[in-house]
Amino acid sequence: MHLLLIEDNLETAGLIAAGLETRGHLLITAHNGAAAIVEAARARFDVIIADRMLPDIDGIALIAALRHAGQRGPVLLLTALGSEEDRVAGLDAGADDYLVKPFSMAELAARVAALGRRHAGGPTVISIGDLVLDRLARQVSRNNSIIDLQPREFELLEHLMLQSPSVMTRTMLLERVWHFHFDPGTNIVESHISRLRAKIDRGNGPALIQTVRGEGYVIRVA
Amino acid sequence: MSSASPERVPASLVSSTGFRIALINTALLIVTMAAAATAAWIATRDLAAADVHDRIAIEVRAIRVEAAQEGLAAAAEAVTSRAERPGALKYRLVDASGRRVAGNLSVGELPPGWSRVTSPAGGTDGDRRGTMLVRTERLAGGGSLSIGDDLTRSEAMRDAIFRSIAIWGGAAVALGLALGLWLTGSALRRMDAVVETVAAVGRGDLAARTPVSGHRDDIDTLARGVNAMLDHIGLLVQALRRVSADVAHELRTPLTHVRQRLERAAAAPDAETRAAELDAANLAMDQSLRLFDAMLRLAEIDGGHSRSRFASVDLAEVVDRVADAYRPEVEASGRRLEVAAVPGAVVRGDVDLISQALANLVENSLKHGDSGSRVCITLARRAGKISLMVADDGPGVSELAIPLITEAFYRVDRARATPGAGIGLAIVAAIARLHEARLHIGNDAEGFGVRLEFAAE
Repeated sequence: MHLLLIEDNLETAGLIAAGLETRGHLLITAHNGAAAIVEAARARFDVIIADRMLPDIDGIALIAALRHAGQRGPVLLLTALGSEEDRVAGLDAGADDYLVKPFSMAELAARVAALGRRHAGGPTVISIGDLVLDRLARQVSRNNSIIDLQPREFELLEHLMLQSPSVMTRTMLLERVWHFHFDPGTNIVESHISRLRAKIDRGNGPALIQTVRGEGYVIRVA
Repeated sequence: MSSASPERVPASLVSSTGFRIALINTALLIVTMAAAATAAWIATRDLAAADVHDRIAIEVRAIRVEAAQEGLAAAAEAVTSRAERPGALKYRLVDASGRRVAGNLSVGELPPGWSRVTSPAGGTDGDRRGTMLVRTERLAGGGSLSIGDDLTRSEAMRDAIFRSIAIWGGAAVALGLALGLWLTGSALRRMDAVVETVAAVGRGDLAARTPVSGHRDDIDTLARGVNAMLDHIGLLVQALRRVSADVAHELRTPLTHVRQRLERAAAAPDAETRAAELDAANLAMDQSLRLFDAMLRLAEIDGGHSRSRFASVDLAEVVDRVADAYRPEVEASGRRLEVAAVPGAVVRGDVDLISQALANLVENSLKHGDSGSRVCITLARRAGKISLMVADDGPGVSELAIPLITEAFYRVDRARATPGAGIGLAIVAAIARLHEARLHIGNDAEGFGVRLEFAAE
């Protein structure tokens, strides 16, 4: 994907750029708001990653300026640790997602992938291997036999399948399925995934739900 | 002298407020007494003069009647006899030829009417020069009558009054000043003690307290206020020191683990071991970041988290979501998650924060109610309030610990067996404060429970 990174800290910007480029993204870096707006006028980006605190412009005002410059793509806002207000203000101002610093590269990459995909809009029926999820009928089947899922299990599977073949992180699942904008101490996601695995994968041929160590979960044909 | 730490200027007696007030009081006293003395002086003078005036007028009329009816000789006789009475007036009766026929008033011929004459030295009253008030009238058969009285007596009375006012007034002023000085001095010494205490605290001696005299006056009120404030500051500083020490301790542990894991990863003999060590390092890092996040969040909630985002929150929805999230975890620990929620329990608040509070409570039961068989989430209406409760049938908390467990880093077991915990209930308490919800923590027959009571919207 074609990404615009707006980050004033050179070292952070360098690390993020390196991490995203190794994952196959094409990335342009701007170190302040003015440079970002110049870049935004020049090309259309699939996803924009912007720091909430820039030396010359507030992240909130920057989002408005980027929209004004013709950028319709999703914006991922990087906010500081422990500033809940920033997150909400950013989302209110039109950011599509946020990520709290410090974050792991895997988390950022997963979110960028999700934003790029969300922007494209998802299909109504998703199938991975012999697993089929119908988003309108809210029905899941594997090998043509219907699997009975609880509403939240359905949502969990839906998010995993929409993100496939990219990884969905624990935090993303917590935010999207349970609307938890805090980090619970226990790994509640793992328990849910293992229940879902029991329904989807057990006795149904090759396992589709996979754990990516240190990153999250992915559903794909191995 | 640096501007950052202003020197304490010793308060001088003269510049003290108390002394100034005493001075002003004394000045007011002097002015009042002077006004009173002047008024008394004028009143006595006029009163004495009026008295003399009346006596003379009556006497003049009597002698004139005598002279008109009985003749000058009879009048002269009357004057002579009257002049001999003790405390008598002074008379001068002159016949038509200007010859004095009776009386002892040693003045010359005066014009008719009232006049004031100065009696000569060594005169009637001995060594005093005095002023006399004299009434002179022409008599019908020629001649004239002058009757006078010495005003000296009334003046003497007036002087005596004035003198006594001066003496007593002076004494009162002196006494007032002395008393003012003494009171100011003692108040100043007590104020000095307060100032000295504040200065000592400023220098870092947090144990300094100012003495309370027991007079129950304003200085005592001030001293007690200062002491109460210092007690509070002392507690805050103590809490701050403890939290700082705790934070350092809590962070040191996971960061030490990160370092050890990284060192082991660097020295790993094969890729698989290295990957495992790096994973472990990441986990330890996450742990310290989680702690950081929790602390910053606590500070944010307590430090005036905006209520502007408050909206209607359906607690049944929150309960459903949180219960769903934790059910597998609770069941994996071999317990049941029991949920009882009434519909329509809507409160005003921040849905994310209320979700976090409930999640923290469930986590708390997960961690500490480990020997129990169930975790219960109950949403109910109680006496017009909406009550959200998480209870377990675990061992509970000792009654002594209950007031302490909402403090950050407090743990029932100080062994710190579960790193990163210990801040969850502090966050719950902060969220409750923000929502003006009552937080009730207690053990009952069933086990341990935490209840949040919200006002219904």
